[in-house]
Amino acid sequence: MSAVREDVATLGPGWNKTLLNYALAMRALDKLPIDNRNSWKFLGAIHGFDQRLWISQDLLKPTDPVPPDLDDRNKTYGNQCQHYSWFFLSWHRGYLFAFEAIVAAKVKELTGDDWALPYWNYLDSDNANARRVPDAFLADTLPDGTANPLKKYPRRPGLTVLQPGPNDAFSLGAVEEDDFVVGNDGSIGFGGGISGDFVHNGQWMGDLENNPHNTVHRLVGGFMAYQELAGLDPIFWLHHCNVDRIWEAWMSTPGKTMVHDPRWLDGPADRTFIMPALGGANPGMTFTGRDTLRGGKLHPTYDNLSKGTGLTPGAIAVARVRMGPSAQQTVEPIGANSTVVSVGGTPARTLLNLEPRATAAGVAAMGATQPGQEVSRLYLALESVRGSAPAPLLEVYVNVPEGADPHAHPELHAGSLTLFGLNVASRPDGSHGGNGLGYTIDITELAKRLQQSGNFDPNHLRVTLVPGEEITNDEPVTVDKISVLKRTGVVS
Amino acid sequence: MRSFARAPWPLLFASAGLGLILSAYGAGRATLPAFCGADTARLLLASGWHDALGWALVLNPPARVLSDWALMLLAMMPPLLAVPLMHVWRSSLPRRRVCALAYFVLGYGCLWMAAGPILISLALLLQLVAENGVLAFAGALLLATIWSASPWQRAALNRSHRLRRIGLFGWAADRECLTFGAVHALWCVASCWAWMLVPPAAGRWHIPAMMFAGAVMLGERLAAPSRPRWRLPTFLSLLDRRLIFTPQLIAARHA
Repeated sequence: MSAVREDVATLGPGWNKTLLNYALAMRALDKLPIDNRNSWKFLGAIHGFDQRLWISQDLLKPTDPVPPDLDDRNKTYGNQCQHYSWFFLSWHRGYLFAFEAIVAAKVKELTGDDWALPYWNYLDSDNANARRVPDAFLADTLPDGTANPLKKYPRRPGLTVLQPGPNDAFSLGAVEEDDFVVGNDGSIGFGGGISGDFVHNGQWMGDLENNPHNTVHRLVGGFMAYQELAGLDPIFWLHHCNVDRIWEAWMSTPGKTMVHDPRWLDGPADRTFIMPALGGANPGMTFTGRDTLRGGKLHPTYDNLSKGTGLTPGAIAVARVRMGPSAQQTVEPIGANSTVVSVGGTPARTLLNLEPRATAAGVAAMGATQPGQEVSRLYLALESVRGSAPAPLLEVYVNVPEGADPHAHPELHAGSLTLFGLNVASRPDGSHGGNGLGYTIDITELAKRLQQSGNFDPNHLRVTLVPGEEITNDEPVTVDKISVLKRTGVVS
Repeated sequence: MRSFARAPWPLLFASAGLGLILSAYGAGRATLPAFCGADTARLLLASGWHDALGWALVLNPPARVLSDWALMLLAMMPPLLAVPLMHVWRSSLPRRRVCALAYFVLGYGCLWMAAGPILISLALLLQLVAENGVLAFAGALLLATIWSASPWQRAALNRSHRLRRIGLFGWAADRECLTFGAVHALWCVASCWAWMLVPPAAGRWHIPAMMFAGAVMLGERLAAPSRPRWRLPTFLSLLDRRLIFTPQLIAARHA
């Protein structure tokens, strides 16, 4: 039975006991050498590790050997983080569990106190300071005047509060999705794309992973904006604790359908998830998705699953019409553009041709509400997005008039994507074969508004990609294909 | 395999099975292409390289050899195409899916058929060089194993995992399917060419050799991309890995 995880905003201002003990434990763990499986650096390297990048950030000396545990050839502890697949949430839950156990043991050893990982409830609408980085992570020193380890690793210069743009994917919109996985490849859904195998960066991002997970990584910046460095920032763990809590709230809400596929429950098939045991001895802790569910050894306990989650566990959420069992819903393309699109310093426009009959049927079915009726939702899909930056921002607009500034048309904004891990996923010899990243954006409400205003052409859709931070002419982003997907179910 | 809820494995393995049956039936009906047995090849070689090749062609009409090659492709390739076929399928309008798959298979098949004469000639060369059939087979196995351990094969395999955009409409979409098939085949040939020499070198045992080489190539195809380097070939490391799939170990993980 794990300790109860609490909202960091309820623990007291400044140096409350939990955060002071966190700092003391981090300092002690950060003194351990990287080949110690309980050291701070080892724990960070489990998420992502790149020898050259770590040397350039003075985390390693050029002459330091890479510990065998972190060598990719051995496929054990290093570089395990699962992104852009349905393993995203279950793997990070196991990661948090192992980290919390190691830090709690160190706190116990140093102070005798109990400790549980708190969460950063940045979307709590009842807290005007929710987006403020907790003071303990900004202070230069601990109360005793020594250097504050919680501020050791770099973030966005001057960061004191998360400052999302008006259209950024920083909301609780993801919890409106009722299905963890939809379609034959999981391209649509709360949880991420289907994969039977271990996949560092997979083919399709789940809704929660983009919003707010990827966005917070970008907004904090610094090490948090790099998959290979993010695990070193102590704020990483409070952020992921909140993401994990939102998942738990979603699973606890009737009407939400979690995946039951044995490949998620018992996978991956080709490699085992592994975390260091307390003390670091073999065999370590191996786990699968099944262990992260209620009754499993990794299932956490939170003090509150309602505040800042957009859900009330136990109560049926009525955000949208139910579409029937996940496995019986279909996903098919109804439109696409005809070339690869490249976005540099200025917006790029592309024309999607739509299949008129399928589009008309989809549009007609968008408004279905009667049980038994066919109901549709429409999505934009961006496939094989590639680039060299670690976490650039890409905004997507639909049907912006020729020559107009997209930012002058917030009503035509389809979505904001933070391409976290883009550099890693685009490497031709990387674990994803250089296939880049994939995203789906729900444009159902936007399509309804376009139709009502007479701005919807059933034969064409114009999409404008607007570059945000980290996208320049020198570091452009390419998108292999942009298509419109129609998701169809039966109102139930 | 394992990126889709429903992948057509039964259909793909059935196609491969059909190819195996047709290959075996062909073998029973007529003599094997004479140079599929190294002993015969050595007899031919006694009269000189040029004459040996000439006699080999007379005994084995190119049309027959190429049709046997095509049957070998049918027997070995379908399961390796699960992911690219599903990519073409999910990327296409429902009414165009069969056509899209056909164009992909056409592009893929054409490139492999073009590679056929080159690889068959290499297989012949191997048998002409070897003392006997056993050595020819061992040589082919050794060559394939070394190639599978090499960084160049790993780089080619990585490239074969790359998916290309598949459009939705008209000739542009058809062309993209054809191109994807041909480019995918190119990287397949680059990564698998050595294993495709093993069945021809196996003489009378070329059917089991096809099954073995096909299984090895499937295992290599399913392994995740990784940095090109010298390494233990996938099929040798898989002998270790089988243990982690036993029920006892899966149960132990949840303890």
